[in-house]
Amino acid sequence: MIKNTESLIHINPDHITQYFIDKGFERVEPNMIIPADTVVNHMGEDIRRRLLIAPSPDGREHCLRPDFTLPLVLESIKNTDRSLKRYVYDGFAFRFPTSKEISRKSPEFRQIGIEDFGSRDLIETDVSVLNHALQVLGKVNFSDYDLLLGDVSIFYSILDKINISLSYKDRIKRLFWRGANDIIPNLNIDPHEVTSLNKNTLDKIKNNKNDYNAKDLIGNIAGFDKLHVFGGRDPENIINNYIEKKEIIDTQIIDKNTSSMLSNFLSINCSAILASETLTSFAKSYNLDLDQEIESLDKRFKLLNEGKPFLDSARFQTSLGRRVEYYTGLIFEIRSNKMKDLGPIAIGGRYDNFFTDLGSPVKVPAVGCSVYVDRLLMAGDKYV
Amino acid sequence: MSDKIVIGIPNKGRLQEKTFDLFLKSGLEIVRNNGDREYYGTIEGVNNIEVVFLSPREISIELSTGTIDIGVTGLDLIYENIYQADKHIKCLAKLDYGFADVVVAVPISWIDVDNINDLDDVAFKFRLASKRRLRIATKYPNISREFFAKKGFADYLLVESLGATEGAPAYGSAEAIIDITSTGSTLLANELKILTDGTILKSESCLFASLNARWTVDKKKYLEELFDKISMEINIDKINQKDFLENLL
Repeated sequence: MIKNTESLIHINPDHITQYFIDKGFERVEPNMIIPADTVVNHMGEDIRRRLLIAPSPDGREHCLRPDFTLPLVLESIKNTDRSLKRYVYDGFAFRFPTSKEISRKSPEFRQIGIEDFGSRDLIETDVSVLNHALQVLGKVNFSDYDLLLGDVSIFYSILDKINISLSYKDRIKRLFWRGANDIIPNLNIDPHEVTSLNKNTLDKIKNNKNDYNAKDLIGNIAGFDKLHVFGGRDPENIINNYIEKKEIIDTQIIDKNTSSMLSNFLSINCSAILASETLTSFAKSYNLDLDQEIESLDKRFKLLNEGKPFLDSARFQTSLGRRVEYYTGLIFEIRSNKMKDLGPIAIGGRYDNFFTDLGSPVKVPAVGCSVYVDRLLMAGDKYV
Repeated sequence: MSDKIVIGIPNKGRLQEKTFDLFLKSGLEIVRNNGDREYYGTIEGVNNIEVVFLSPREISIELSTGTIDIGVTGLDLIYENIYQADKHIKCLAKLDYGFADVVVAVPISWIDVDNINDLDDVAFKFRLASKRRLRIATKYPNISREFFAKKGFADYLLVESLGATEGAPAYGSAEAIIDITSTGSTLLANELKILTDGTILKSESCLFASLNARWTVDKKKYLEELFDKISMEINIDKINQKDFLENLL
């Protein structure tokens, strides 16, 4: 292909949709309007001011869909047909743009994407969804992109393997998802920050835990005769959390080795062909057994490279996908090579907990990918 | 359109009394012509200022649209009701009354929660365990969202409260609250405590000017005259004032 001629071809997003239909994806039109509380509950309060919300006469709020995956999963949960589904969607989603968004000013934006719900061959599905995403960009003659790859499941595996308390692991996960630049300094609790905790009170709890009822004990520690308001929390749980917190303060749990291990892991950013090599030497230097994880990553990357070698230009980043809590495995982002300020042109990955998080009684493996058409067109225009 | 300055004054309560007092000390008597139900008033002996009596919330909104030129209301309401308030409103003077803090408060029984980081921790576990987010009741949704966004805390759901917010954790419509407090006694009575880093805003009553009002040469002159009269009583920054007057359109 002669590169220079690409600039003359205008990108037609309809070709993307047609490509997916030709590949056997079923065209669907998910609900345009969904309950706002479901969205906010799922995506966090921050999303609310970017939603297009309208009240209904019964006082409930509804909003225009902020993306396609959410209404599609909600509809699929109601569906009793559990067979494998492969969907393609093409339409408008609605979110007020952030100040960083440069490709649009209006709240509506066109998204074209695919979902694969229920495929049991995880590796094959990961590879096929990413391959489709790359193929489709080729179809519309867009090649001026960077591909970023990541896999959050490796981070979770590492957490599983290190010997720290569950409560501490939750804390680390939370900071990971928050995208905190440096997780480690934020992990330990500054004892000065804590007003209600001292050694005497802790001993008091430990000694009396079985003698007191939890409510009295809390009142005792807080310095009140009788407390009635527990804000929906179980008093036992409050006390356990209190003890855990005290233990974190006492030990400042994370030792130097673990803390440098986590920092080093999260700063891995290498060429995708070197990913398994880099991870192997990382695992070795910290005595971690990541063989299975690395093998699984390697398999996927090899399959990806079979079609057309591209991994030499792709990057592997362990920090990819933070801030998007629902990803559980492979993550990928396609970004404009020239316009660094433009958000991702396409984004995708695996989210196996999405169904159960939204109330599905059964777990459904899910992989998807979405193209932000306005960004694609903007990056395409730059091409001329 | 008359070329008078329109000033918004609180329509009842202690804020109104304090405002009346302040003006009176400067020799300006605010008169509500036909008793308490009248929405318009005047200042005795000053014919270029028109007084409108509005709720503090209405004053903040009318200032942002420029329907009134200046007004007395709380800083909290300005920041809550006006998006990017600094672009639309200018604080001319702090009036030394109406002090109150907007704070994040949780049940006293939450002995494991002292600060926002702890709250984040508990909220996260709460969501994993119950598949729903911790609810926080407030009359200040905008201030609250902005504050939590800055703190990087997202595991919550705001519940807009219309009445007695402090009671929400007790009767179960929310787990925590964000509300205004001056002495803290209402919080205490409802078994709530303020987080150590949970003070969002220290509010007080201020005299504000609208940057969106139509500021004619005459009106600027009247405002300057008003400043001269009340500046003995309140601490209007002279440089700030000059700067402001010059920059008004």
